[in-house]
Amino acid sequence: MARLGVITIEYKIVTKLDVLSARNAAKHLAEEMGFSKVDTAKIDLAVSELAHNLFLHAEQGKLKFNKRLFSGRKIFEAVALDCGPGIDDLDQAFQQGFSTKDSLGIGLNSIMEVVDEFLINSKAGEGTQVIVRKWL
Amino acid sequence: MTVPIIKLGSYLIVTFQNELTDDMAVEAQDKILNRIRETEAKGLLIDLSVIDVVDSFLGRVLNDTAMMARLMGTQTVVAGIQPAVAVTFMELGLKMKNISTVLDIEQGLDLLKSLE
Repeated sequence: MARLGVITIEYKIVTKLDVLSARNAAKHLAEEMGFSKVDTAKIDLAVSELAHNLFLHAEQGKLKFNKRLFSGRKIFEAVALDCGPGIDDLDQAFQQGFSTKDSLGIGLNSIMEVVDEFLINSKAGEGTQVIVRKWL
Repeated sequence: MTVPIIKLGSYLIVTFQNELTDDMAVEAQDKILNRIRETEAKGLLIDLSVIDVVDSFLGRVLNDTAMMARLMGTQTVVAGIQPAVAVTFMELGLKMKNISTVLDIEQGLDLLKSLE
């Protein structure tokens, strides 16, 4: 996939204020790319849930936003990366209402609902990588 | 930065700003409950008109706050949900269980009055 320009923004998520700056950056990038208000809100929501997961399960991690171009179409891509405990059972993690942390258990599912592409790579003890993409 | 809580007659009006961190939301929850006790407010009106996205965390804080307010005898009304918020809220599968929703603050105050 060819990169469009050099727009890659990287955020280290260590404190809760970092979540806010990362969300703002994602929102601005989405708006600038021409996403509608609703789609920008969906991107914001996905990024927020990704950031929360970094906090809740890995204490800290990285969020990267890429602006990509594929066959003339613009794609917003967010990558969440952590070196946390990883996910033991991915099937279980995607069950509505399932949570190991006393949260609502809707985070992962809701991310899938609002984006076009969702990739997850996780190994117990090594960390988790989540990539989400929204096509314009 | 904290979330402002305004007392209007026997009601409390809370406006959530857009730059709302999780900590601010939780702090606001505590403050709201304390203010309800202090002022013996009959109704709580939460204004979300400048909020772009209600994520699962904020959704839970809103629901919990309304539930706790109801336990203290105070009705909660949420006003000003933007179209994009309504759409993402549905996608999240969240439900506002203890909360009535209205278009704006004016309608919210009317509703609270009618609930008395």
